[in-house]
Order: sequence, then C-alpha cells, then structure tokens
Amino acid sequence: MLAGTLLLIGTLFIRNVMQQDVVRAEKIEWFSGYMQEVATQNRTDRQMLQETPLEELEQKLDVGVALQNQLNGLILSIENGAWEDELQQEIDVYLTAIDYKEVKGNYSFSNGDMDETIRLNEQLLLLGLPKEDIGRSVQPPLFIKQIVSLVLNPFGLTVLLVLLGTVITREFEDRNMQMVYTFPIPKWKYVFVKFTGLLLTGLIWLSVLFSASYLLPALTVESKELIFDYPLSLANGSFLDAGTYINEACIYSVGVLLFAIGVLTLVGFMARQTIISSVVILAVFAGGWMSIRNGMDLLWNPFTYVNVNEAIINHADYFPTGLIVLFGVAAVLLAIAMWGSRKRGVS
Amino acid sequence: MILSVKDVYKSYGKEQVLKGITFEIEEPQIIALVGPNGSGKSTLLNIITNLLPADKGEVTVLGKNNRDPNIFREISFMQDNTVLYDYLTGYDHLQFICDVQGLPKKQLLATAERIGITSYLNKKVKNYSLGMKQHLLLAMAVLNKPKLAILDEPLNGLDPTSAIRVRELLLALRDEGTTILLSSHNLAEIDRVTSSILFLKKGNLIQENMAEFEQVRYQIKVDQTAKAEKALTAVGIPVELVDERLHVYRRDVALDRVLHILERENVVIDDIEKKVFGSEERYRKIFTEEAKTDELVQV
Amino acid sequence: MRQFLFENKKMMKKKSVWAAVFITLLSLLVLSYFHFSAADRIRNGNIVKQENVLAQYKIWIEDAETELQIAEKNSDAETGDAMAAVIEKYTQSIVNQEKWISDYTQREWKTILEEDIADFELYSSEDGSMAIEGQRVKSFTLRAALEEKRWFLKNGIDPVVQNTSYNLFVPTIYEDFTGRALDYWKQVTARYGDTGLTYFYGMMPNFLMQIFILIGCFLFGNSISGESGKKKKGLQLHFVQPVSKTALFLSKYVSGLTATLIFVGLLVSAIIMSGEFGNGIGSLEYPVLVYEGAEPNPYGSEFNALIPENDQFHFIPLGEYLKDVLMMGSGLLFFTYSLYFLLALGIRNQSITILVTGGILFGGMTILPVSAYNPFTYVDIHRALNGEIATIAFNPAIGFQHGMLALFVVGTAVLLAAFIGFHVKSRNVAA
Repeated sequence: MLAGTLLLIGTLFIRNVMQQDVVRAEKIEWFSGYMQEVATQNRTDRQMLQETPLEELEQKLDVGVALQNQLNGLILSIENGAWEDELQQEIDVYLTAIDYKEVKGNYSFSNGDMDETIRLNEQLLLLGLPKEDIGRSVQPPLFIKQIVSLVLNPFGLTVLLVLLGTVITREFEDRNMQMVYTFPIPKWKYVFVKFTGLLLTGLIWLSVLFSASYLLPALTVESKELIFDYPLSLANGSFLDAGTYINEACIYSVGVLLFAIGVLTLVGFMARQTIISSVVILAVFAGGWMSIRNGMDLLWNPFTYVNVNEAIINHADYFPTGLIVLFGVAAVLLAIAMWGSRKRGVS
Repeated sequence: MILSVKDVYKSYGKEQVLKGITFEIEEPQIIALVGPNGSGKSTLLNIITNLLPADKGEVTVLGKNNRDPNIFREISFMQDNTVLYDYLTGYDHLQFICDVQGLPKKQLLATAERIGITSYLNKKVKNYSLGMKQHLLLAMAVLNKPKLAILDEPLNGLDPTSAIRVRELLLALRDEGTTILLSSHNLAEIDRVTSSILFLKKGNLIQENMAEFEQVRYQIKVDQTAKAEKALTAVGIPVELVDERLHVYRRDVALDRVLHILERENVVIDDIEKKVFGSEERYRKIFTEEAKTDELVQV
Repeated sequence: MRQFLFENKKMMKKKSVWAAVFITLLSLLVLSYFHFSAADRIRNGNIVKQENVLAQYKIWIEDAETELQIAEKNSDAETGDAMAAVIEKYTQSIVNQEKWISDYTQREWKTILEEDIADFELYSSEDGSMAIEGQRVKSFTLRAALEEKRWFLKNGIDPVVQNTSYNLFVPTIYEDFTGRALDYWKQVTARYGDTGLTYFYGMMPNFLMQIFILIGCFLFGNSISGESGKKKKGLQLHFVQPVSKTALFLSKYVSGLTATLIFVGLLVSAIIMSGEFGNGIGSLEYPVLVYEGAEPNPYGSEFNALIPENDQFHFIPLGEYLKDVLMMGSGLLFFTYSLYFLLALGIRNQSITILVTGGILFGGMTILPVSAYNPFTYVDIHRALNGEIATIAFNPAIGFQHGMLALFVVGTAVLLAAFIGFHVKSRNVAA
C-alpha cells in the first residue's frame, strides 16, 4: 500500500515536471484563440466602417484593437517567461475585454471569471508569485493539493479500506480469532485494539502521503518564496492561502481516516468475511458519494468531508465544525462495533 | 510392483530435504513412514502423488508414471483436513469423489457405514470435530477401494475408540489386498499395524523390517536369583541380571523353556514382566544419539 | 462435466457469496431509489420554478390592474390602454404557463417539445446562436439537441429530467466551455434518467458495467486462489483424483465466468427494473446520440480537427445501444475475468487482485494509445459504442466489431497465459 502510494506520487510528480512546457504552450494556445476571435471582429468592423461609418462601431473597433494588442503583448510575455508582465497584462486584457463587451464586442469568457482572475492576479503580484496551473504544479503546497484531490476521495478511501479490511476479516477466516478470544482481555477491548492498530496504520500512511508529496518537489525543484501564501479560489469567491489549505487538509484527513476506520471496524467485525465486508464498504462509500452528488453535502453528513479537497474548497464555513461530525460519527461507529462484539462468539 | 521410488531428490532453496530416496513396495502390506517434524515425510508423500515435483528421480505407481492422473483410480491419498471445504457436507465430498471416479452411490453409503460417519454425513464440515474430519478424510481415501492408499497422519486427532476402529480398518484393508503407506507420529499404533518402517533421517531413508528389530524381553523375579541364573546359563541361555531380576530375550529362547528349567530347579517365580523393544526405541536409536536401550515400551 | 458441476455446487453452497450478492443487489436498489427520488425532486423543483413565474405574472397583473384603476380615475386613456394590454398579455401568459405546468406535470410533452423545437430551429439557423456566459454553444450541439427533440416528438418518448425545463440541451464532446460557463453547462446538461432504461443509459458513462464486472470477478474469480492458501488447500483434493489438469482448469474458469456473467446480468436487470421506483422501465426507442466523427485530414494527423458545423451524427434507439452494450460488456467481462483469473494465480489476497485488475484496466485505458486493436480502448464501452473515442482519435475503425475482436483475441491470449500459469502452479501445488 505504501509502495503503491509512493509510486503514484512519483509518477504524478514526473508527469507534472514534464508538463511544465505544455502548460505554457496551452496558455499561448488559449489566448491565441481569444486573439483570433477579437481580430476577426476587428476585421469585420473595419470593413463595415468603410461601408457605413458609425460612432458605436468606431468605438467598438478602438477597444477591439486595444484588446488585440494587449492579447498580443500577453502572448509575448508568456513566450518570454516574464511572469510579472504576464499577470499584469492578463489583468489589462480582462479589463479591456469587459469594456469590449460593453461596446457589444464578443469575448467568450464570462465577466465573473475575468473578475476572479483579475483579483487572483492582483493578489499574486502583491505576493510576488507567478501563477501556477493548480493541476500540474511542481511547487510543494500545490502538488500536495493535487495529491489530496486525487487520493483523499471516496474512491481512494474505498481502496484503502478494502486493503486494510482484510486485517480484521482474515483473522476470522483463518480462525486466528478463536485463539485471540481466549486471551484474558474482553472482546470489546480487542475491537478497540484493532481499531487503534488500523488507525495507526492509516496515520502512518497519511504521514507518508503528505511527507512524500512535500519532500519530492521540495528537494528536487526550487521552491518559490511565499509559495505557502499562494491564494486558492474558494467556491464562495474568497481566497484561502495554500498553507492554511494544507493545514485544513491534514486535519480533515485525520478526521476522515478516523471515520473511515470506524466504518471498517464496524463492518469488519460484523461481517467477518472479506468479500462481504468489501462489498458493504463499497456500497457505503458509493452511497455516500451519491448523496453528495444529489445535494446532501450538509454539515452533519460525514461523507461531505470524504472528498477532502471539495470539503475545503466548497464548504469553507464547515471548518472546523466538520471535524466534530467526523469524530462523533467515528466514536458512535466504534461504540456500536464494541457493543456488538461483547457477547458474540466465534465458530 | 505397487510402488517404486528411485533416487528422489528434493531441495527447498539451499536446504536439501530428500537425498536420493529409493525404496520399493512389492506386496500388499502396511508400511509406516516415520521421522521428526520437518524431516520431509509430507514432501515425500507429495512427490509420490505428484503434488510436488522431485528435483531428480522417478516414481512409478502400479507400473505407471506418477504424473498420469489415472493412477488415482487405483490409488488414493489422504491429506490433512485443510483440503476439506468447510461449507460443504461430508456427503458432498464423498459424492464428488464418486462422481469423478464413476463409483456407484451404494459404495458411498457402504464406505460411510464402514468408517462410521453416517450419522454426521449431512452436516457441514465446519461443524466437524478434528476426529470427524479425520474419519471423513479416511472415508474419502478408501472410497475407491484403492490398491495403494497413502495416508498422511491418519491417526491424528482420534480418540482411543476411534483409533482402535481405524487400526482395525487398516488391518482389514491390508487383508483385502490394499497396500497402505502411512505417515504417523504415533509409534505405539505403528507397532500394532505395520510390518515395515521407513525412517526418514536428514533426507535419507532407513528401511527396517519390524521383525528384524522388534525385541521382546521377559523380566523375571525369582526367590533364588543366583541359582536361577546359573541354571539358565548352564543350558546356554543368555541372562542379564538387572535390579535383582533376570532378563531373557524371546529371540534367544521361548518363555516356556525358561519356565520349565526354573521349575525343574525348584526356583519359585514371584513375577514375570514382558517388555517390547519396538519402533519407539528404534526411533530413539536412529534419531537420538543418547538413546537409552533399556527404556522399553511397555505393552 | 462432473468437475464443472462440483464447482457450481461449491459456489451455490457458499453462503458468504450469496450474502455478498444479496448485499450488492440491495445496495444497488437502495442507491437506485435515491437516484429516482433525486430525479423526482429535480422535476418537482422545475415545476415549482414555473409556478413561481406564474405567481410573478399574477403580481404583475395585479400591479397593472391598480395602475389601470388609477388611469381610469385620472381619465388617462393612454396609460389605461397600455395597462389593459399588459393585463391581457399576462393573462394569456398565465394560460400558457398553466398549460405548460399541466403538460409538464402530466408528462404531456407534445406542446413543450414543439415549442422547444421551434426555439432550437432558430438557434441552429444561420441567423441564430446560443451563448452561455458569453461562450457560444457549438453548432453540433444545437443540431444534436434539435434532432433529439424531433426524435422524442416523432416516437412519443419522454425526455429525461434535467435541471431546467426548457431549452433541454444534449451534452456533446464538441463543447469546450471554461470557467463559470462550464459549471453552468454541466449543471444544465446533467441528466437524471427517470426510467429504468434511461437511468442505466445515464450511468453507463460512469463505468457502471465495468464496476459490476469487477465486483463479479471479485466474488467468483477465486476458485483457484481461494483453494491454494496455507489454511485452505482444497485444490490439492482435485489433484489426487483422476481428473486432467486441463479439465480442472476449465471447470474452475468456466464456472466462475458463468457465475460472473449471470451476476452482471442480474445487476443490469435490477438497475433497469428499479425504474419501477421512478417512471417505469421506459422505452427502448429512447434516442442515443452516436457521433459519426470527422474524417482524418489528408495532410497529416496534426491538422485533424473537429468541425462543429460539418461533423455529423445520428441517433439510434436505446434498444440497439443496449444490445451492443451487453455484447461488448460480455467481451469486456471475458477479458477482465481472464485477467483477474491470471492475476489470482499469483496473488492470494483477493482484495489486492481486484485492485490490480482494476488498476490495469483503467490504467491501460488512460495511458495506452487509443487504437482499434487495443482492448483497453474498449474498457469505456459507452464512449467506444457511441463513436466518441473514434471521433476524438480521428480513427473510424474504433467501434463495435473491432472492439469485440480485440477483446476476444486478447482475452483468449490472457486465458492461455492463465492456463499455462495454472500448469506451472499445479506442478508445485503442495509447496
């Protein structure tokens, strides 16, 4: 499991490193598309002005030409790798584009998106940080964010639990539990011991996940100063710095792990068979995922936090109350598992 | 030729478990394979039944190469109870063998009756005790009336009543013409049923005939020890004097003759004790350097 | 044959497998119930939205009536006439709106579709267009949405539930929205099948069938690995019977394959039947969009491009799609099961086996180059069958026939590898 995790982190990091040039090429392609859109309108407007001079059209053309020039400058900045110019020019482009739309020009990017980008760029300029592609960054905190999104979700957690689950069910299947139950400790205590053991294993896995995601880029790529202040857009329109994001992600991960191990302990000790417990865990997490998709991403629903990244980005206001939900549900699940095993024997 | 094992070698990594094992079984009999844990008994049985490949050597069963699955129409192999399916009944197991061997159902019922498992035949194996599982495995092994039955630890986990029953069954099978090659740690039971023992020591085989090493000794307590010793020695009967008791061996003289001589000399016999020097002592001799020859097995 | 029957008997007597099948079925039905409840909620939400519009009209009429009274008092004929016109307009709007709500509630789609078709005819005409947050909806999507509505109307099929009740778009691969426009597009094109068949169709892009197949393999593909552990050695029992290893292998393989096939069939049937929680099983005539793709550029693949204005599509009935899905699903099941069976020879822990199998399947689909003869290209059955992969890859050869061939040939190769692996393993079965 650890080897698989490290392999995933390593592969993703290499992919991100290799994608750095692609990111730049894609940016150029992206803005070239808009430049073409504006240039085409400018050409048409010029022709129309030659036929019928109109003040409105002339105004539009003026703004259009300025926009086209700014887009051209922006593309050049991207090509030259002058990131500060790039950020400032992108702001200028969007400010002009908003004006352009007001004079009935077409610019296929929503005003809301442009406003958000302007705010982000201004923030980045203040911090002196270049813009990163969040899904392909090699900077430590953003790479951690990518790993968190990829691994700490219903799918990743189901895989983890199916693998860990055998630790409980195998003991029943191989009849080792018959021996264990002869030890001079109450059955409920053994459930607790198992829960603690699994939790510790999970915590070790989590610490490896976070450490490796941090160390790999930190040791191989030059980290930018203040990168932990990198602003991340939240669903409510505000920004959260990357450092706080990682802190919340770490804390949520522990809470989610606690909840997940609680589910696993209960299901494992109730089902006692690998195939049954695996199917139940799959069903539980599929159901949880479906509930979130159908709008039940509520504060009291522990599955809201199973996708750690979405919990932080979409429900900033749930932190830290969400942790109480996760801890509470985990405690209830563990209590049921311990209570259920009190008088149940093994055959 | 019932079974021929020629020059069989087997290693696990650097550890050589079998070092050129060779033996043959020509006539129906009961042969025991004896050795300490990890000596390679199960490995040898698995090689004979082709569950493991030998590194070198050849095994022929009833004239056929052991790789031919059809040999199992005439032989059987009783393995340990991990081969049983917990969720199936004893009947299911026996029926499976009947099906693949093409045996009639009445043979199934007759075998179950003979082994004494009819009462729990329709219960799931997970509810069986260790002894019940052993009985089922034995029933599975004798179901096809094999010419050669290879039994790995058939007496394991049996209560005294069951052990007696199994012993009688093995003897009956032998009388019916089935050759039995069994591995066991129960040396007392081996003494009762086997005619030959294969001792497996450090990868080598030591084959011994029970008749050759088995010794019976009479320990006689008399009122005039010196007189009795002199009288017996005088007629050429070897006598040992240990703790005021006369020790004479059956291989040297019949007990009747000893009693007759002592009676003639008016020596009064207070007590006679028969001691058997059997496979356990032989085992000790072979496997333990400090084996004490006078620790005999009491019958 | 007797060996095969024994394998089946073992499977039938394993309570844990039955329990797992039961739990899977039950979970599926519970999740389906949630789905149909959600679809119903969204549908009711659409009705409420329209009722709000109706209420708004009534408020506007009341306001106009007040202004009319004032105008009459003040003998302001001009305002009075204008207000009377407003009242008349909104009164008509209320009639129309009430009719719309009644039709939508009663699933009387004819009028709604006719109005929607008229709108889409305008959007897809040369003079018309449609944009979201300033980003235009592509011509391909407009044409596809129009044709889909015509199909609904012609065949009397109910559209599925969407988050809007008018301008029902069909999502296509030709859209490249970004930012908020993309979020909005995703929201308005999210479809919630309200019948068993449309639910199944809607879940296919989410790898429903593939997940069913993997669960099936997990439950039924362990006939060798589950009997060759340290504490369970049932396999050895078979090796000391007069049965050839080939017969033993085949009986174990085929019995598990058959069970997996039946299991997947059962789950697919359950999901279709679960439509009874919603609006019934549905119609096999429901339209399924099939991309006809773009021709590869003769000057080189780097010039390949999707042309939303020119690229073509057509619709096929859901029944035809379902038949192809089941056929290709069987091919994928054969391939996946063989792969699982092969891996299970070496991996005793079935949880790891299933994760490795899933990893290979989805990793192969993601990493390996898309090709007509690459079986991993067909792991995404839905996109392989509706021409999406062929269109994006500019490779018209990717389709049902080549998919079946690739899955069967490579599946057979994997089966042979498993057979060889079994022979190798069987030589050391007691090790």
